[in-house]
Formats: sequence, C-alpha cells, structure tokens
Amino acid sequence: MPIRTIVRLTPAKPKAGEGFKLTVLAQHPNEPGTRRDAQGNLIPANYINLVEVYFEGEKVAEARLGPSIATNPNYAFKFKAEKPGTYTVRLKDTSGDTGEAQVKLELA
Amino acid sequence: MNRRAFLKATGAALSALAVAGLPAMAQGLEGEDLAHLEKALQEALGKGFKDLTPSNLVKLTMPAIAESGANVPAEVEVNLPASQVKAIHLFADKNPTPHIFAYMPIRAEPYFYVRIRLAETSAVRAVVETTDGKLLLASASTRVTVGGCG
Amino acid sequence: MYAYRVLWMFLLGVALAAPDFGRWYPFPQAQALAQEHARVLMVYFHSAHCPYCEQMNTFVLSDPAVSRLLEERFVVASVGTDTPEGQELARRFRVPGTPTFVFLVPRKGAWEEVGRLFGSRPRAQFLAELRQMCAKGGACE
Repeated sequence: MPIRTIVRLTPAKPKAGEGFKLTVLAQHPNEPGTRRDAQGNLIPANYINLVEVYFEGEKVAEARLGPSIATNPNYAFKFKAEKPGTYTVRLKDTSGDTGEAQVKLELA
Repeated sequence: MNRRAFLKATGAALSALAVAGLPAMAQGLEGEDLAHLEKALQEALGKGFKDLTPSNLVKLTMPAIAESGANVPAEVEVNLPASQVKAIHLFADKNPTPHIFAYMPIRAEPYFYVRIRLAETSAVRAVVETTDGKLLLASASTRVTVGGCG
Repeated sequence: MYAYRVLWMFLLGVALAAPDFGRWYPFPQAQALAQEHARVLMVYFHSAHCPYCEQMNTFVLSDPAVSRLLEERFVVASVGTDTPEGQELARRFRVPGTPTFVFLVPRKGAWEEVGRLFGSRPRAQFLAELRQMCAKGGACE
C-alpha cells in the first residue's frame, strides 16, 4: 500500500536567494518493533527508514531513519531558492512500501 | 482523548531533584548512558565518544520536558557552509536503538527536523561529520514525564 | 520411527502443558493460570488514548529484563478500561486511572492484594518494583 505523503514549502513562494523550509508529512505507524499490543504480543517492526528529496530529478537530500521516529512523522529540510522547479520526495519503509509526493517551487 | 491527571507529587520530586542536582550537571546530563551510547557510536561511525568535539557551531534544540516520549520534536542546525557538512546524526543515550537518524544534506542546508520517540528521560546528541573528517558534538537532555490518566 | 513419534508426542505434551507466560490474558483466564501455576497475578489496567500507557507498552513492558521477569514469575491480565467488562473490573479494584498495575496472590482460598502501582515509570524503577511485588507475593525468594 502506498504511504500517504504530503509536502509543502514555507514560505510558499520564496524570493530568489532566500532560504525556505520543505516539510514532509507521512501517514505511517512507524512501528518500532518494541511495542506490545493488548494481548501482550510484540508488534513487528515496520518503520520508514529512508526519505529522499529530489530537485528536477537530482537527489538533493537523504535521511536514513531508525526505529525511534514518531507515528505519523514529519520531517523538515532547508534549501536556498535558486531557480524554479519541482521537488519530489520519496519514502520507503522496512516492509518495502513506498510513498511519493511533489511540490513546485515558484519564486516570488 | 482521556482527561489527564499528572502525578504532581512525582513532578515536584523530580524538580526538587533537578534543583538539588544542579552542581552535578557539569559531570553529566540527566539521562546520560555513555556505555550504551558508545556502542551505538562505534556501530554508526566507527568512532567513540572521546573522538567527538563539543562545538557551539552545532545547535541542537530539544524540549526540556516532554509530556510523553511518543512525539518529541528534535531539530539540528549547523552553523557551517552547507558544503562543509557531510552528515548529521542524532543519538538518544537511553533508547533501545540509540542511533535515531543519519541525514545527508547533499545540496540542502545543514538542517534537519523530525519528531522522535524517547524511551525515557534521556541525553540526546547531535553529531556532525564534516567533509574534513571532524566529528562535532552538541548535547541536550529531555525529561520524559511520568504520570497517569485519570 | 516409533521412537520419534513418542518423542514428538512428548514434546507436544510439554508444549500444551506449559502456557505462554510471555503474552497477556483476559482477566478470568489469567486468574486461573496464576492459581494453577502459583504465580503472582499482575492485573494491568490500560486505556487506548493514554500516552502513559503507550509509553509503558512501547518501552517498559517490552524491556528485555522486565519481559524476562514477567515471563518467569508472573501472569499478566490485560484489562482495557474502554470496555464495559474493563470498567466493571476497574470499579471492583478501585482503580484510580491508567496505567495501573494491581498485584494479587491466591492465599487461603481468596485473592490477596500485595501491592499496586499507578502511573508510568522508567524501566529500571519498574523492574525494581516488580521484584518487590514478586518477593511480597512469595514468587521470588
């Protein structure tokens, strides 16, 4: 099942040369593998372990994550606005499921 | 959501402890576990705690107190040109798996933010690998509240 | 061949006779198991949206040392206070909130409470308190 992923920029339209934040929200339990259910059984680990950001097809940032990230995680990155283009965010979890979302950078 | 009732007595006792423990702060952070951290550092970086250089170029922002360990904001910002930062790591001494993330700001600014889980009150470390092979360190501590729901 | 079959039957018998004490049971079942195996019954009252229960479930009750002690000496009854049966049990045991752990042992045909804990706690503290409850319940020397 694809991981539901949302990306947004703040400010939405930065000026050329200005820094901006790229925020990713994902819908995922991020099971750490140490949590017990109501019957006391351990819920198997399944968490997002890779987040990649691409700009116009080129990889510009990569985060490798362990089992200690919160449920429904959000990640924030900072970039400098140089030219307009498209950011693509790709996620992958330990079960092999993936998520993808895009956002267009327009300059003010 | 349930109504929540913090165990005030526990909180007060902890605050008293924190105040009484202030002179001891120089020796160590609350929730420090250097032996457990050391194993994780060796595994992730092939280096130990003694190889890390505390640096105020690394700004680690953690809340002093978290109501629960399930959702704790962690932010790291490095005051160096992006081209000089190879990777940013985060570790929590007390977590079963202390290495929380490795971030490679390939063409990004040396900044990363994520919400994490903490097993209990813990020291948290940001370790920055520079392109010239240095390991810079910033430490913080987050107290995870104990309590119950009434 | 016959010898293997006998061995297989024997192993199956052992597996059936020894319940899995690493998991948690509904209250009546846990009570029966504690009585039968002379263990301390730990009744764990929890609720779905309490972050302190979540903390116990994610890090404390799965801690290797805590898990081992529970598995070796206790029977855990899991009681969700979001259900009518759970609410009834919470009233019966005068549970102030969640998480609450009530420790019971069968003595002279009745259940005696040897202690209780209310609220989340760090792993080392919970482990120390479990050892105390185990000793009070006569299951640890």
